[in-house]
Amino acid sequence: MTGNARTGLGLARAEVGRAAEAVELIRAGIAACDQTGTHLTDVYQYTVLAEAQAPNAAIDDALASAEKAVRINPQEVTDLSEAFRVRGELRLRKGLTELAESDFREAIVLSQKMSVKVPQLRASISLARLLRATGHRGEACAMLAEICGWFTEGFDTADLKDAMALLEELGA
Amino acid sequence: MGRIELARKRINEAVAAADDHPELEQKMVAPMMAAFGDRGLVAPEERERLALKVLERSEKSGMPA
Repeated sequence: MTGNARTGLGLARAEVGRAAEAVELIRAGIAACDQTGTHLTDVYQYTVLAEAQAPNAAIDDALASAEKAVRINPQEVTDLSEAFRVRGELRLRKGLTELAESDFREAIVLSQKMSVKVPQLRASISLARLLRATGHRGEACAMLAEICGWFTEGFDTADLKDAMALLEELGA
Repeated sequence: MGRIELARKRINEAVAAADDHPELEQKMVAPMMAAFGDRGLVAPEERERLALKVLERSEKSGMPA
């Protein structure tokens, strides 16, 4: 339990810009879970580790963590979508556009299979940004409008705010 | 009330109830789940506070890391 609490604390600190501290906490969380043989949240833990590592320009370390997240436990299906999305973002930063697009599309398919709408929204935002950058604004707009249209509340959440702002930029 | 608001309400209720629970483990489950949970539902500052609460309770009780 404390391993997961350390990871949760690390993620919260990563979100408020304390990335170096966040990486240490998440690593400690993973080590604690390993020590007690708890592997129910491996995908999630390596995904948030990759996110925390990314702002420090440790892109290869972050990508290695994301690779681990994608492969470590295919049974942890609810978290796999986010793992693919984060790997896609990191691949994009490395200039691997096609691989990034493939990851975003896989993240969307996985989230649709599980009917997990927030991960689907996040993956759709990532893919829409990539499509806009590659000149496919129409597809980006249609895809994002569809998932945004599903939501009837939660418009104060960061994900929906991002999505609505992007839709506006896309001219929807 | 929609599902997002309902989830937020239940998280808040579970976290509040955990403080008064007589069993240590139950005192920790709700704040840990909220701290570890979806970032869209609970603000990072609140998740940080809850995670610290879990770690403090764990340290005081001698629960393994």
